[in-house]
Order: sequence, then C-alpha cells, then structure tokens
Amino acid sequence: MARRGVGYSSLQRHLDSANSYSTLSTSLAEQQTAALSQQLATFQASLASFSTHHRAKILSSPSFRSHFSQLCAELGVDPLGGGAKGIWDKMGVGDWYYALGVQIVDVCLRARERGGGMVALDEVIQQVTILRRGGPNAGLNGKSSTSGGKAIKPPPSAEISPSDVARAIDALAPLHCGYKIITVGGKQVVRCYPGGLDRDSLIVVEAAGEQGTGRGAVSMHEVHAFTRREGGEGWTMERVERAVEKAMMDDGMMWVDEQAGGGREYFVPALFEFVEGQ
Amino acid sequence: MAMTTAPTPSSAGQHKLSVQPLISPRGFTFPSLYSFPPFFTQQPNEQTWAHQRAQWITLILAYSRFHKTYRLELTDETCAGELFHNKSINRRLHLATLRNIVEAMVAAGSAEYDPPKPAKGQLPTAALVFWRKPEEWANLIYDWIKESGLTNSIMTFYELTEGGDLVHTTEFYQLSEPILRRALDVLIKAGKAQVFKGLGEDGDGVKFV
Repeated sequence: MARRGVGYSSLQRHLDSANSYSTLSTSLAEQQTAALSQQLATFQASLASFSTHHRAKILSSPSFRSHFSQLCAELGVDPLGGGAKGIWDKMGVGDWYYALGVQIVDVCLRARERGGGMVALDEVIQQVTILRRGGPNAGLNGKSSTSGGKAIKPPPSAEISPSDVARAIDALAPLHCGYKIITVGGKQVVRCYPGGLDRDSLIVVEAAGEQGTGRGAVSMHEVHAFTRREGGEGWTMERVERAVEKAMMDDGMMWVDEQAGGGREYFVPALFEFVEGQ
Repeated sequence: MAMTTAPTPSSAGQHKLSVQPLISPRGFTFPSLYSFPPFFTQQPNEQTWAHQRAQWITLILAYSRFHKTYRLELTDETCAGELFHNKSINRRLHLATLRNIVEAMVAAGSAEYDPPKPAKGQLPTAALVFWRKPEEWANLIYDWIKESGLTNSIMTFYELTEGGDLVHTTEFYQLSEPILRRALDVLIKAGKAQVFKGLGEDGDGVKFV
C-alpha cells in the first residue's frame, strides 16, 4: 500500500479530509458558542435574581457594596464598565453611582470657592450625606437620578464610604473634569481642578498637613523647614514665598491669618472638615 | 464669654482636622467657619474674599434676625462684640474689613447706611440691617392690618410696633423706626398708606387704605 498517495486521486482525498476537518471545527465552535451563551444567560439570570434579592442591601450598605465590587473584580467583571451597559446598570446600581457622582460634583463646586481646587474627602462625604438627606439646597441638584426605569431613592440612612466616592469619581472620568482622589500629608483630598496642580504648591499644602504635627496651617519658616526635612539645602526663602504666594493668590487653596501670635500663618481649608449643625 | 463647644481644630487619635459650629450662651449657632482663624482676616485672593464676604453677610443677617437687631454701628466696639470677635480663638474682625462687608451689603440691598449719606469727608457711622427687605416688612404689616380690620383707622407709629395687646404677637413687634419708615414708604408708593406728621408727644401717625 502506498504510504503516500501520488497523483490526482490523492490530491482529491486530501481536499476531502481538509473539508471534513473544517466542517468539524465549525460545528465544534458552534457548540462552544451555544454553550457559552447559555452560560452567559444563566449568569445574567443569576445576577438579575441576585439584584432583585439584594439590591436594597447593596444600595444601603457600604460594606456589602464593597464586597460585591470585590467579587466582581475577582471575576474580572468591571461593574460600571461599558458605559450604560454595565452590569451594575442592569441591576440598577449604576444609576446610584452616577447620582452620587453628580452630588460629589455639586459639593466640590460649592467648596471650590473656599478651598481652590481641593476638598477633604471627609468633608465631601459629610456634605454629600447632608445633600442626600435633603439638606440645604437639595432641590437643586440633590435629586437622585430618575433616568431609566425605576427611580432609585436610597434610604435616608444610606451611608457613603470613601470607596464609593472613589468609584463614583471613576465613573465621571469620561467627562474629563479632572476629579481625582489624592493623598496630601496623610490626608485624602478630592482634587477637582482641571489641569494639574503646581508641584511647589502641592508641597506647601503637604507641609500644612504633615502627618502627626500638621495643624492645617503653616508659616513660611515651617514650609522652609519642611523642604529641608530630608537633609540638604531645601528651598531658598524666595522659592518658599513664591510657592505660598502662588498657592494663595493663583490657586485659592490657602487663607492667610494675620492674627496668629508668631506671625502670618497660611491655612489650607481643604485639610479641614467643616462640621455644620443640622 | 463661655461658649458651649470647644473650637479646637482637633487632632485626637487619627489625624483629623475639623472645625465645629459654636453655640453662644443665648443659643445662636455660629457656623464652623467662625472657628476658622483666617476667617477674621480679609483674604487677599479676590475669589476667596468674595466667598468669605458672602459668608460674613449670611452670618450677620442670621445673627441680627436671631437677636432681632436692626442696626449695626460701624465702630471698634461693634468689632469687639461677640459677632465679630471669637474669644475662644482670640480672633476679631478689623473695622476696615467690616466696612468692606457692609459696603457689599448696601450694594446688594441687604443694608442701608444710616444716615444714608454720610457728611462730606466722613465715613458712614452705622447701617440698617435688612434681614427682611423693606418690601417684606411692608407686606407683613399690610397683611396684618387687613386681617385685623384696621384699614382706614389712624395709628401712631408707637401703637403699630410697641403698643397694645394686638401687636405683641406680630413679627414687627418692636421693629425699629427707621426700618418701619422704609416699609411705610413702600406702602405709600403703592397707595396703600398715608403718613401724618404727629402733634406733640404722639409722634407720627399712619392710615392704611
């Protein structure tokens, strides 16, 4: 028996087998696709039933929310991803985050007059909570989103966690409004400033918030000392003055206090939580 | 003066800076900004100052409403008072800064210098504080007159704001006379009141129509 066919008939045989292989692979792929889409349907159905059972809890409990988002991360699913088609949207949780995002913007815009482009994260959470409880000017932007199906009204007790704020800010990213959570002097601060902050300004703010000792305020000399903390020359006094001047006059991030005992002090409102009685 | 809440920008345990509202002995709640030391220094940044000034105006109006005061003397004594002097952080507003704030209030119609035009070369000495606009006072008075069936009768200014059992319950009880006059001016212009020059001790009178 010839091991290798030669000639026309052999070529024909070869083509036949290639044909059947490709038919086989197509049918296999079809089967896999069918199986996959079945799995996906099951997954979606489970998510849907999960959402109907636990939605209230997801919306009202920050720890439950964070567990759920961890779970999603482990599965490689971005809950808010894909814009309006995210899984959380299917569950009605996406709206919750977009509404939170709008409230954060609202609060940050109001605080911008006071502290330039930065607000303490604590302060944002406090103000958003007041807003959601129907606090001052809630009628303006404070409504929870009503778009798409049922309106989501979180219960008045609904707590907001720092990671909720972080996620809501991530959801705002496509708008390019420059919102970001940064750490300054051991404090988390929401930066709502289009365009970056000058590095020298940021160091002045760091000095005011220096962990452990920071009073939220600094004198020029303290800024100078701060720039020399790791040894070396540090800044010249001219550079210190220029940085303080810029942070105050251009960025509006500092307030001067001329009645401090030991000379002028510069306060950074973004490092403070302004607690208001209700 | 003893305040009920300590205003320390606290840093207990976890490093957390916060400023708290203060409650005065008479029960007025100062906003947290009142415990923020630089609030008492006029800010050089124009935008920050606009915000600071607006916060001071809100505070002045709320404080005046709470204590039912209608007049602000533009003096150092005023700046040493509770409203402009937070003793617990040892900060006070300078008279020059207060003048700038009041100027903005006058421009916005929430205050009026008294007298309206200071003598030549002089700075204004006092201002009426309109925590209600004269138009609002006018409506309050006129509504009350109608409800009480007092149209067409003549009342003295004193009767209207101080006298009798009737007036005690109204919001304009003990309204200061300059503000009463401003409110009545509004009603006169609308043809709803006439003012009569008083004779002797009775003072001026008013007839509502």
